[in-house]
Amino acid sequence: MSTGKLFQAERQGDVLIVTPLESISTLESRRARVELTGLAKPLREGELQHVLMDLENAPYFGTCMLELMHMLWRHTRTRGGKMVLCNVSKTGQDILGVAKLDTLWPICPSMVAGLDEIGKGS
Amino acid sequence: MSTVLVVDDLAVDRRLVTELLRADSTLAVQQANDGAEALAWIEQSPPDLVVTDLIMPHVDGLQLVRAVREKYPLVPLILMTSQGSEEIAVQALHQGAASYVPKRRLGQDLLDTVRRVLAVSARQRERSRLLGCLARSDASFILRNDSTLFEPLISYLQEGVSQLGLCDAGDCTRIGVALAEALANAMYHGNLAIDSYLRTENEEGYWFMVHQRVDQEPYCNRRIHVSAAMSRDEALFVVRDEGSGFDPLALPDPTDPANLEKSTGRGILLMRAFMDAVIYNSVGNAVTLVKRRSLNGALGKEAA
Repeated sequence: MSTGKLFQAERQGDVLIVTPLESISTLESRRARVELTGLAKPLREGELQHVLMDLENAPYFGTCMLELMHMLWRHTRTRGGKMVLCNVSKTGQDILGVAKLDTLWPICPSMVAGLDEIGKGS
Repeated sequence: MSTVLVVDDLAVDRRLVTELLRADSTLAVQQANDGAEALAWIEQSPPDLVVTDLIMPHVDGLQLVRAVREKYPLVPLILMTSQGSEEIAVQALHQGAASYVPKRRLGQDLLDTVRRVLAVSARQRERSRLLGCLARSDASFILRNDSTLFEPLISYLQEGVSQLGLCDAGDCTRIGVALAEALANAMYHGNLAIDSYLRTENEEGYWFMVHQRVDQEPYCNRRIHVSAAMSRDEALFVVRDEGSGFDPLALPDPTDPANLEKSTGRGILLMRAFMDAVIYNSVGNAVTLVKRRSLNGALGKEAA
């Protein structure tokens, strides 16, 4: 498990589980990107295929987080992997729905359900 | 006279604490056997202060702190800690307990701690009563291109909206998200004149340019002007930059499947989703965000 100041990352099988440690506003964009790029190295290098993002500690977020999610998703896509979100708050679901990003990434109620979703058809 | 509720499952400890507190004739003391009984008491008649043990059956001290902070935020709690309850005490303090007194120091410290917490709490109640009379709040800020100022500004404005009772906590959060997007747009795309397309094409290049322009003329001399006019019915925020403006209608639709991977336009999309009105001036360097009081759960959105 790796822990930075804004994110925690751990592996489960070929899944990278990424957990923001707090709500990341658009104003922390650069710092968040630098940290997440480091934590996502196993994904970029092909050691891992899928991403599960646990948003339990991030009840709200802005375009910065959406772009970071995009970054992770692009890495999984090049490996034929999946990205799933879990523990998304009502506000978070509103944000993803408004941006139509809930059409790209399944939203699951828990980490277990998220891992099951990734496991389907893998 | 201030009422203090003492909560402890041990009768001898309850009696000791009660006697210590009754030495002050301005304190009227009640007792409860555990957290569940305490909650029933508080529901009937909220005291001015709760002094509670931590390790109790049914509803323990930590659960009591959570419940009281949620339902009766103006009632402070003091914890009585003993050996073995240190970890739960830390959790309870994080959950909002006002202070703590180790049981071995009750004789020396309890009364002073109670008086201090009651004094602070009395000021908070008075402030809360005064803020209940707040009808309107206006503010105006002129900021440098310094994103570290944005979070405290947003907190300040959210507090203003909250004090006026304009919206619930969820909407307050959404206002914060919309303001963060407006401020980021004003700084990066307005004052520093960095195209959002660059972020999609070359993110490293984008941040390199930000880093350069923050200290470079004319960009470093540009300011962000923020004004807020808040009343019980409506909050109106204007965020203006000193850049050359843009045409918001020229932005691609970020919800178009062809554009889902691009970052352009998403900030404005969130602003429009979370505010009742988003209005740009003709130049495109000032945006007005409006939030209205919601009536019967319906949003006060502009008619289409």
